[in-house]
Amino acid sequence: MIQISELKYGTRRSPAWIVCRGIAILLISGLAGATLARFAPGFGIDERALDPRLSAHSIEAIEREHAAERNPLTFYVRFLAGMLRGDAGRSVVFAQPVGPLIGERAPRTFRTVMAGLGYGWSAAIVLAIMAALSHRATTVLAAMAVSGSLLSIPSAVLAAICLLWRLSPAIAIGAVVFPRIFPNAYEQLRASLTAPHVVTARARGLPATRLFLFHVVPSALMPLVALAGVSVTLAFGASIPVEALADSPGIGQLAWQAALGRDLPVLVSVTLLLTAITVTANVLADLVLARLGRHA
Amino acid sequence: MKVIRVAALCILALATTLSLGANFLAPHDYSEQFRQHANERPSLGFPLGTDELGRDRLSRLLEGTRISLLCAAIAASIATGAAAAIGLLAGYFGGWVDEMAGILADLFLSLPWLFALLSLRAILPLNTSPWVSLAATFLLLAAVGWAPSARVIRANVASLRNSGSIVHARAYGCGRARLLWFHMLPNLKPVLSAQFWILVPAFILTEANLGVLGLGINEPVPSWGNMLAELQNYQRIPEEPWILAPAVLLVMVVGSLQLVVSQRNVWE
Repeated sequence: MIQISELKYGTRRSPAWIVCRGIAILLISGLAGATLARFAPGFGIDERALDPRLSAHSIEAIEREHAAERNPLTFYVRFLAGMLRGDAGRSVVFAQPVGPLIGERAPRTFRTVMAGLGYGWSAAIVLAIMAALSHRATTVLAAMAVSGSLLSIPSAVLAAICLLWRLSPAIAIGAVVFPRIFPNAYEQLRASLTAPHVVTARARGLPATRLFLFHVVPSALMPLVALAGVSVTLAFGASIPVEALADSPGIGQLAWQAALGRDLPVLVSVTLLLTAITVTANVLADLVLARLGRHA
Repeated sequence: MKVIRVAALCILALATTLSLGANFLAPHDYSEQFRQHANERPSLGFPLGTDELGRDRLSRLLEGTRISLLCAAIAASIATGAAAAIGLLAGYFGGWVDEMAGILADLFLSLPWLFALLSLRAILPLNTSPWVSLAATFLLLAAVGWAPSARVIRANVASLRNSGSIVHARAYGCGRARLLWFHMLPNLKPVLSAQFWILVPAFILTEANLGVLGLGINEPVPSWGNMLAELQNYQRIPEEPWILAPAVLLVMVVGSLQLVVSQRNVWE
């Protein structure tokens, strides 16, 4: 289980520091992606050079076109500039520019992932509230059993089961996200229910509903913001087997087909795009936590 | 809870026994192809049936259990070792070393694991041998899986650094290397052990996901992951439920590991 305390690295930092750290992480991951693409087998080989009709002079001219790319630093700068312009190279498998290829498929994946995140988070929080408020051990045990079981099933198997039962792919993604959120939500709620300010408020006769909604839930669920980045990563990760098995033309299926076809421009671009989304989610979560920390 | 824990330990013991005794318990060689018995239903000769190449599913499951469990444990050891090294240095030295380690850990935590693994796995040539693909898959898992553990270890080292015993050792003139190796590391044993047991199920699950996608360990070497690749035709499950045998065993083992680990963490 992921501990929230492990994820609160930047909570005591200034907002500027948190944003700079996020940018540094993005630049480093960009460098890693560029290095991967630069040193991949087949890099710099131009199919035009294999044309037997070309003279040695023409082949030299084609090689000169790629000469600048052989320097990793130049390649990195060009790679990043290209990414910023939306030019992420050309897919080997689909014989199309990578940008439009991702652009066509991204909306479907984003819709599925957002719906999956919604299902996973809602189910986890509702069940955590039920388990925390219940005084029966069986309710807690049943909730823990569901969470533990889902945590032990590979997302690909969950996807196959959901598809077999004709459930939406978003439910499979929700089932992957749920067990990562539920135990933390439950623990936070349980701790909040026995916090000194809650005990005092209860002793002063505050109505139970008001106490729960305005004192327990906010203090218990706000720290869960730290899990936003992790759940986004998980949801996008789960989209690969879900879309591959469901034959759904999204980013997950694109990455799978690209991996089978050793299509590194597509893979690196997709990985960088999702890293950017995760870093943004983490930076936002850190900023919220930093703000909460200042108000605490 | 005690009954559930005992049941979990029994499942783990059974899986370990099955994997260790795979050579003696398997009715056939895992790669032997009985072409005349391809896609056969379970029978006395083939208790879990055969796959499309006529290979005995039970023999492959036993060998796959051994490979998946053993390699996940090796990868978890490597990842825990790397996490210990980085966490120790970051927690002990603090300052810019800590900042750099923090950024590196953040980077790995921000990576979409499965996408990153697909990218790295795609670099391997198509004609990679099964054993190389096995080593590469689990080494990649170790390479991307150390970050969460490094953070936990770093936090423990940072609090340990100012503990009485370490301050005394430093005051007596104990060198840095000796301090880290003989004084810090032994105190971290429970944390390292907990991190190891958290990583094993995580690696088993990731290998299974890669295997289902056909990007894990190459055939004919079996693993839980590549045996689950049959789930790509999930419509077959109602007619041939025995193809879920690797998934059932995997879920039982991973569930038991999670249960034992969570109990262990509660005690510690």
